[in-house]
Amino acid sequence: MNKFFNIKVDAKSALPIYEQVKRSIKLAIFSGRLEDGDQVRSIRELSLKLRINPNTIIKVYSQLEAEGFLISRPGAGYFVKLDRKKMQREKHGLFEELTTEYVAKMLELGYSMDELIHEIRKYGRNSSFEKNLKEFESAGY
Amino acid sequence: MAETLLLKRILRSSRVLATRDLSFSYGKHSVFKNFNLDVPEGQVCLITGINGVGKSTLLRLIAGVLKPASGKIVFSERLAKSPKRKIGFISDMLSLYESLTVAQGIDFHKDIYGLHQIDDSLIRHTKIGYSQKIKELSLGQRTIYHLSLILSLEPEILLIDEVIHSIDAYLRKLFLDQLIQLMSQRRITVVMVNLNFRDIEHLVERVILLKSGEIAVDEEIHSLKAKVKKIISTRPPTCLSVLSQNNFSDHAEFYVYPFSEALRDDIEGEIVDLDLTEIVAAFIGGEYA
Amino acid sequence: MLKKEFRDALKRLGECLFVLIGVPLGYLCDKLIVKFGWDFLNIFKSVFIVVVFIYAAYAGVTIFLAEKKDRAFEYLCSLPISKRKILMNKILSRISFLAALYFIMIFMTKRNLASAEGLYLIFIFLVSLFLSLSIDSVVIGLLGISLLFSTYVFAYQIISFMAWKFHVISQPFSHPFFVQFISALILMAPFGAAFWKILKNLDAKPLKLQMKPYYTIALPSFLILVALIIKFYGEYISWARNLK
Repeated sequence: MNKFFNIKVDAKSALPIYEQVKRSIKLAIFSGRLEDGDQVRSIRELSLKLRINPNTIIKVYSQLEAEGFLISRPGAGYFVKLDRKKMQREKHGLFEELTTEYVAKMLELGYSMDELIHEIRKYGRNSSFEKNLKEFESAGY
Repeated sequence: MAETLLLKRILRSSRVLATRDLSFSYGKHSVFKNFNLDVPEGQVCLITGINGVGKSTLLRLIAGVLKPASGKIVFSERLAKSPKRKIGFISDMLSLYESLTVAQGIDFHKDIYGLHQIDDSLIRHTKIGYSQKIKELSLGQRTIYHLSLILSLEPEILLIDEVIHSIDAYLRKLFLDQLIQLMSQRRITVVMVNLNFRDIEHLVERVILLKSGEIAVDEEIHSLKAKVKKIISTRPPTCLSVLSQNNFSDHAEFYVYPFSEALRDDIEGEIVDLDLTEIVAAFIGGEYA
Repeated sequence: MLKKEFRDALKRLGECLFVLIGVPLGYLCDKLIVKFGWDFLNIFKSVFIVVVFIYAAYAGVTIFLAEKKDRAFEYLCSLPISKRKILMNKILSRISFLAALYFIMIFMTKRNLASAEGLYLIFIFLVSLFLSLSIDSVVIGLLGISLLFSTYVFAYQIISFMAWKFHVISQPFSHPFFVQFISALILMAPFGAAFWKILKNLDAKPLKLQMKPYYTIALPSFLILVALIIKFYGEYISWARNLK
């Protein structure tokens, strides 16, 4: 898998920037793009790359360290710390959040839960699914 | 090493500069009366408001380029002895000895601040000739030249007045990159006056809106974004004050403040998140109404 | 800062010395038209002395010319340098050239080093300096300086006379150095005080708005001095006439 992942920062989102960056990094860890022991970008490099205030990156890294996803080594930088159980929990939490959002929208459209599960299975076998998925990924999600 | 040193920044910041009961007038026109503002060390602060409200005047007062009628500017202990030595100030006037050549101007600046060298990477990048007179430079070149001068004195406080958007997007990116580098290396306090927030929105931590010589809004940026929303509805929301609105044939867009998540269920209509430009426009729009 | 101030002072000096080019030209014309035995050197010396005096005034009045022309007052005020140091740098550069011209003048005319011309030059330079912030036009500046210099000439005559009247000096027309010095001081002090007050509080506001001390300190003092001169001049004139 490609080690380099894009972090999108949305000025219009109500989610504070540090929260957006945190999520992107967590997602990268969950998806396996960042593996246990990998070094994340230095504060200087990431703030230059995203064109955001270095203090924001400091906040992100220190919060991720407090939450147990990163570990800092003085003189070296920040490294990914993988706690499998914890990751499972976080992953599940994110799953719940995003799925609730999605299901709510689908229910609004008129699907029932059973119909929804049936349609998802069908769609997953669909040829256009792969293509759409690739487009979605390259848009930086 | 730098990372852990930087970490210490998130601990409580001390105040690096403050205005105390500042009063200033241009002739009979009073701009500030007993104005108070505290800026903690390392903060990136944006000052905005309508034209003529006193933003540039405030910056000039802090830089010591204008003398207040009463009140004073207070600096942290470390800077108090000679604050101008560590303040980098650039105004939209871009005041310089423009009859000097670029090289002479650099020498003059180095001599006054006691610098051994000036980081001229930006100057060389923009192909400014060293034997050119400063008055012959284009606005963009002059701005970059001035910015290079003030960055070279390793300022602890940067006061930047609306010049960032008078240069082209590429040069702006170059300058902001330099600024970000500086910010990641050491603690630098930045007070910016801007009417345009493109490219700088993500650098800003605190937004101050001036109105009639007073602070109308003073919030951290993510807190401000959480409190100002656009509500698309047929009727104005009852539980919130409306800053300004856009009317359409069958509905209106209401800019409201201060929104909180607790009110989300009580509001009729679609709630839209805003970026800084729309937020400030909403506040200012209310002034013109 | 000093280097730039020397460069500026040199420019102003150059502008004055430029006048001297007229001398050989004038001499040549003269030689052609009137075959006199006019000595070139004498003409040069006379013009040179005039130029030195003009430089004293010009250097003083143009002390902030660079800042006015380049709109550099804001830049100057933003620099970590005290007003006192700024003034020192500006004065040092200009006085150096003035002193050099003075010594050349002394050497050329073989006068006594401690002659009154030195004091006049310093007086003219300082008065021009003190007026420099209020004046936008160099022509008006030079007129103002001439007025003040004339007042100074009247003033030291009167003060000499008073000093003789109160038996401080023995000769009424001798105009000793200390009398001239005191006269110069009395005339310069209010202008100096006004100038220094403005400079100390100088900021980037439009210059016109900062001229109050000239009206509150310098002008009233000057008018009082002129009134006193007029008052005592009558007495001085009638006494001088009686002598004849």
